[in-house]
Amino acid sequence: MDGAKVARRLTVLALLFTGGAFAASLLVGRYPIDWAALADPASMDRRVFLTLRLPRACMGLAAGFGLGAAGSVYQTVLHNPLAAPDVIGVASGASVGAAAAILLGCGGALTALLAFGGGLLAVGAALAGAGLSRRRDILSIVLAGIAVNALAQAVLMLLKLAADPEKELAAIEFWTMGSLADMTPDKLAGALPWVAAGLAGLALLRRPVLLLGLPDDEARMLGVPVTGMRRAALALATLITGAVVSVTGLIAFVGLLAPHIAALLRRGGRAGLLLSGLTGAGLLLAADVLARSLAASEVPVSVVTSLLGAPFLFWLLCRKEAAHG
Amino acid sequence: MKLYRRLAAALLSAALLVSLAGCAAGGSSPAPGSSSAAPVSEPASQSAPASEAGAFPVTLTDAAGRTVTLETQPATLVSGYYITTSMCIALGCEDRLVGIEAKADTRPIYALAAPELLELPSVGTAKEFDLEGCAALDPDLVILPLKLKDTADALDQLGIPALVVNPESLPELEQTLTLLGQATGCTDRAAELVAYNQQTEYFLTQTLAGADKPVVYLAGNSSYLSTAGPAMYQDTLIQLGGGVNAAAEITDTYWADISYEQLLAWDPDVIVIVPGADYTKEDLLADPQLADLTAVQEGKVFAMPSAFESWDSPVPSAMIGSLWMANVLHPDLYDFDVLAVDAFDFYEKFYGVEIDISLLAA
Amino acid sequence: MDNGLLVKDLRAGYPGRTVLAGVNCTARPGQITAVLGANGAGKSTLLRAVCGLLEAGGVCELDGESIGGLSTRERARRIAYLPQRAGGELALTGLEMALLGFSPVLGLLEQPGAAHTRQAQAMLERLEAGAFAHTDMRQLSEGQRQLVLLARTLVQPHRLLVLDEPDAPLDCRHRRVLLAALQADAAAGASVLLSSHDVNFSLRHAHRLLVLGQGRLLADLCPAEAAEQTLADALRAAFGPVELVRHRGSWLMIDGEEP
Repeated sequence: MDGAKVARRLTVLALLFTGGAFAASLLVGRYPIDWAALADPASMDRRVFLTLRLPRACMGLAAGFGLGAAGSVYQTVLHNPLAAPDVIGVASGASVGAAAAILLGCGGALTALLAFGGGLLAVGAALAGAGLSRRRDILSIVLAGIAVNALAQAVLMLLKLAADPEKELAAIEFWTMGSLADMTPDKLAGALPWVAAGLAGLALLRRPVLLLGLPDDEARMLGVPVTGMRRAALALATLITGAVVSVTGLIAFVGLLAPHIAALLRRGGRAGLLLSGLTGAGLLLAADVLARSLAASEVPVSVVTSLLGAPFLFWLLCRKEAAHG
Repeated sequence: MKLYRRLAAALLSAALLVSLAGCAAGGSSPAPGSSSAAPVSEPASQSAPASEAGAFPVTLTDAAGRTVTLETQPATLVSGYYITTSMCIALGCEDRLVGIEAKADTRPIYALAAPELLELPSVGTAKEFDLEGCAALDPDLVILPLKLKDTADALDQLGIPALVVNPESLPELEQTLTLLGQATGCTDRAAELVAYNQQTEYFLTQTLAGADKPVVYLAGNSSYLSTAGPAMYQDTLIQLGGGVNAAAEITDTYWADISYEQLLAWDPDVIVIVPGADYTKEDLLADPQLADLTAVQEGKVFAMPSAFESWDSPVPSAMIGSLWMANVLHPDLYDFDVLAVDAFDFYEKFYGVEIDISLLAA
Repeated sequence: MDNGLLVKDLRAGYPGRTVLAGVNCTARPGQITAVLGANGAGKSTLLRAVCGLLEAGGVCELDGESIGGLSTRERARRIAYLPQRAGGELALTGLEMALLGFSPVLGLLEQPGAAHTRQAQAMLERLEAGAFAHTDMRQLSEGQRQLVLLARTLVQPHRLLVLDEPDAPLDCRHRRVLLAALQADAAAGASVLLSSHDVNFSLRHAHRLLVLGQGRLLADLCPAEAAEQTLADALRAAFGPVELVRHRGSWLMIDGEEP
């Protein structure tokens, strides 16, 4: 079968799955929405739908898509199947930025920007660390990421010590366990423009970004200014990650797994931004539906993605081993 | 019911006036320390404000500086914080609660004073507040701690009034009581509780004036190597009880972890374990590292009773905690029998429950 | 000014190590120029320096323009380059990989069109790699990958084709396929510069031989016209004791001294 046809068919499938998860996200929740009452502008049902259910589903969609797409960019650009926002420390860096923003009392958009700044510092530190190391394999960036993660956690701890426990501390602790539970239209509005801007930039640069997946010399000789383009792609992916983290907190595994699952679905050939993004969105929305229906109270969605993601990562690693051996 | 309320309100407002007058005159406080209960037996005054159900509509400014307008007296309440849930019991509006914070079963006072609260749906914790679940309860008013300010704003957008409170010190506790009183229409009861607090504070200051102040180490919840510095309410508890906080140099604004060495260096005269700690007094006494402490050697290690409330926090009954502390530190000035009567009276009057005074023992 | 590649006093290397110590050479349009030399002689370094991928001293001009002065994109429209063991781990099908060759001529938002796809598919088929158009690159053998990558390099618009040991992973049959493609490319007006360890292939098919040794150019000659002794001396300087025999009008190099 023609590769383009497979890709189209898969994209349609992924669209259907993500659409289904989005619909489920709109339908499932603690408040028993009377759908007939939605038309009534004064009804509580309508308000719950518009100010809670819809923003939450939209943020799940945007966050999942953004993390999946960003994950695929990190993996391509860094030539590393394990590069993901949460592995290389970008997400922790972003959470430190967001926590600092809370301490400084910043609002939504500025929090996203500071999260972006923290993420950039982290990705810079991880790349510098990996560059300094003598081992040139896929583990060096993971090791650098471990160091960056540890550093970010330490800074987060220090910020916690400086925080007023009754006001900011709860909010800071919240970054370590991502959740969509208290999504509101304001938070959505604070993050969405940045996610959209980052995705638009990546969509615009998708050909050069794809070429960055080749060895540097080849990419250069195919017309890509490698150093600048790599920085731009990492900055855009980090912008998305930062914006997402600034409102949801750390969501584990989505950025790492979505591109791999998309590639598995594609069975060879390229799982591009769109497919990775859709997979990420489907994953996160499904996890969030579980998060709000598993227990009597809300479970942070990051707990669900971790519970689902960790075994999958093991399986992926074993599979890779088998393929190489 | 209506009649009872009217009567009670009249009596209570009278109590308020009398108590204020008492404070102003600088005389001895009538409530605690005497075996007779609060002076509800005084005749009702003609000039008592007739605000038995508060004044609605009312516009309030909460602890986050938000303006909250309530058109009518809220008939259904959600409390997302154990302190405000306790306050609802103390103010007598617990029957209007339709949802409370998670882990209600860890609060013994609910089972004692308002067991029906344990059956209410949970609206989650400060970390995972269940906005939709809360909306599904369709409350007229939601009361939240300051750390859930964002949640309060979200509730506003849903058209559900939300009040943010921050009881972290004695004055803030009193402000919170007054605010809740206004919001729920229980202003008189709130005023009475505030008055009780002020009288007790005055009584303790008077009674313990001039007494030697032992150095008290307050052992925290999770470990006896965690304690509270001067920035926390727990410091007030020690001071009201006539002691000095061993951890005066700690600047943390939350429970701080310390080392064995630190505790040995402070060598407190008395060690008090907070209510509901994860360890027992026996655990602490059996720790060989602490065997040389003066407090351990002299048997001055006390555990605050776990059967009631977190008296080390600004709960409505925080003053009973202070009285308990005063009894532990200065039994000669404030006798256990008097404490037992005061605590019994307090809980009977404000919580409508007869407590087992034997559980007050340290 | 279509005089192809002109290299003058090219000096290049890596931090702390000079590899090329002043090389002068040319690669003319319509010709296949083969770079020969033992391992470590500087073949790959020469090719990379020519492409402007290394800090280098001296002159490197293509059709009169300094290669170092070109923007990355301009350079990509003039020079197509295939290093050894190319392609990386990128998950692409053969056709997607071949289509990357059009990147230098596509606008930012432009996708390869039907015409590009036809050209890429035709090039794959010409290289006997049409069957891999929809196979993941990572599932192909080394030789099959090389054919796809050659297709990518050949469809890339270029005046100069630079190939580093393009024949190394290929079998005898596919070396012929490669040769035919290179000859067609040269005939279309490109300068073809390649390195190879297949001396006989070069002796027989290259228009010019550049023999490198220790970072210096040992010889720059035309194998069809050079005297036997000149040729033999150059090859012995590079490879040690070898011997030349005449076979069907061209030279064959045989390892070892005359008995």
